[in-house]
Amino acid sequence: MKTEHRLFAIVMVFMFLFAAGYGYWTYINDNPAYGRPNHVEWVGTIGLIFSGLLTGMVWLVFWVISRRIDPRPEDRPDGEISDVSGEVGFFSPGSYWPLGLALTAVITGVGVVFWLPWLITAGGVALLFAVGGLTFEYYTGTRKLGPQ
Amino acid sequence: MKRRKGTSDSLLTKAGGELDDRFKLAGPARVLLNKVFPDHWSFLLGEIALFSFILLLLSGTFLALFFEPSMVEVTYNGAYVPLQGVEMSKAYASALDLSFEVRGGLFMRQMHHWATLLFMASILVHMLRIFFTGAFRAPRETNWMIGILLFWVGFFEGFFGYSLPDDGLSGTGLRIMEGMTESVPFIGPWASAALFGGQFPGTSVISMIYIIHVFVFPLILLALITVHVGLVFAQKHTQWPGPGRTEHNVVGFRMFPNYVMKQVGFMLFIWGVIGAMAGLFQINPIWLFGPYEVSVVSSASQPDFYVMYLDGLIRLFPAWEFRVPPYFTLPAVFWPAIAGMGLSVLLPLVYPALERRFTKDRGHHNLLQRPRDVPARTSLGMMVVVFWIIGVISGGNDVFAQKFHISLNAMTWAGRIGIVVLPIIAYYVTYRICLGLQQHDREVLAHGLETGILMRDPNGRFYEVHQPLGEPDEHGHSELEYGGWVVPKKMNRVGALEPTDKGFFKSIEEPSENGGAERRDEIESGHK
Repeated sequence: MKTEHRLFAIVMVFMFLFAAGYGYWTYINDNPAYGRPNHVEWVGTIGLIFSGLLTGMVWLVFWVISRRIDPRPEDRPDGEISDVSGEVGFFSPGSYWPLGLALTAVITGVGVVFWLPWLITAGGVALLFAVGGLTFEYYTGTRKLGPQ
Repeated sequence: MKRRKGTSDSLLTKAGGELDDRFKLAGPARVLLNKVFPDHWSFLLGEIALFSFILLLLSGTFLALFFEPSMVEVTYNGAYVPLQGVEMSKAYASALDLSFEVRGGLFMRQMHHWATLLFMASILVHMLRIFFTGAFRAPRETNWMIGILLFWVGFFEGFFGYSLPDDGLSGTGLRIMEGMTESVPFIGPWASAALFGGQFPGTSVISMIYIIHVFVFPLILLALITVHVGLVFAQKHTQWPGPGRTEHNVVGFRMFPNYVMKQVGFMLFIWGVIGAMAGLFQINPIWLFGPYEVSVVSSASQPDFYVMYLDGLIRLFPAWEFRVPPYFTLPAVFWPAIAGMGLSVLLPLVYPALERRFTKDRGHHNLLQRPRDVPARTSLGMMVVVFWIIGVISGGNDVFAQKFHISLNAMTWAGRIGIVVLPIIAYYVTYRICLGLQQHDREVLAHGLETGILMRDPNGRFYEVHQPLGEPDEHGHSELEYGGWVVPKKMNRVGALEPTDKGFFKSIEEPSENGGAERRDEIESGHK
């Protein structure tokens, strides 16, 4: 896990550096083609800061996990391929829920963009349902076979 | 307290016996109450239509008490100030009074309108269910045809209903119907003159369609519905394939108590929903449209949704006029309106016969088919659905053009091209999806379902664990036959991850009284 969390830490630091550099350059630039002269171009700057935060989140998760678990075979210099044999874990073999999640997120986003409170509310509720659907897809009750 | 002789049970029995002695009820009641119906949510779609029809009869009766079907011109002097002093027909004036002065009148009007929309919509959805599952096959073709007739009688019943108030919108609708009627070769002008008592709009059409709307068509609908439901009783309802289900049995619940409870609850629920819609959502605000004047046509005049696809076809059809001067002109509106509507009536009516002819399937069917297992029919159905949707959208193409800032000509041309091209694409795409779903079912039956559990072998290879659905035979094969019903695709559908504790807020499984965990004795080889 060491390699992973280091990679994400490096990307995070660079994202913040880029955000600072980008903000500074758009601030000193007086060409109107690149945004309002002598003002920070905030869409790109905030986008870069958020990218940094997102990578930072992944870094934090990996870092915490790496402290909690024993070194995996791929973390050890003496690891063998046969050491990793066995169960890797559960991965959804195929699901439509991510599509529903994206759709409801888009609805909520459109509501925010055009500031339609009813659409934000409806989208938010739908989003909650989609999150629930995605999370509990494999935990819903056992179903009898055949028509109910 | 003195005990009554005999129990209440024997009292009931006695009352039942007395009734049976007089009216011979026991035989029919036993058959009726013990009748078994298969259970599936999709079998309840037709009931929505039935229950909204009952509500339509009730609310319509209320409206008929106050509505005056007369085209006599009066000066409005009622409660709605913006129209005071305006010349209008008595029909429109009484519809306004019904909305503003009769207690509960507006609510009843809106309930009647919403119930109509729900009636037509549920007929459509019910029809799609019947079509896509093959429930119309022998011996049920007659009932399918009755259903189609029910839709079309409902269609005209609805159309006449919204023509009655004689407001600006309903007059526009009647004007279109006049144009359609006149476009029929040879008999058109005479038919139109007979309908309107001479030139449009005339002075008689409202009272004529009134009696059709409140008496003739409801009676036809009632008769057809009775036969429709009676045939379902006599032929027994179709059922989905599944364990224990064959062409020769019906697996389900009895009429009493299951379906009596279910249906009464469902009916009250539907009435509640329609009542809530009638109270909360405004529909057909006729006071905003004003009285109908032949010279006044407003933009964005749309019919109710079930008429809209015909309106759309009329809007899309090119202005191709066929002329044999000086004798004969066939206007362009004939093709979408009369020929289009005629085909919409005829094709569904003959579809069961056509399918019999082409599949050479003359069997007697009580088991339904999953849409994916009959890709050709499903794809044909989707063709019709896409055609219909484009027609509906084109019926409101002026509104779409205005709201989305699109050119109206672009909307029309998109509709013209789309209505030819998109159904074909829909056919192909649906066919492929059906085959894909079939293949996935077979794959799961042959190789088991995907558990989602990933493993690595000592070489580092990743592989997924599959769970076969059946016991392997002596050769180690566990391939299963497809049974025409849902194949489980997830582990939780076959009992994995069964919840340890049942119940939502509170556990259903209470510990039994004589022996919780603490009283369970441990038994070790021979002695306690």
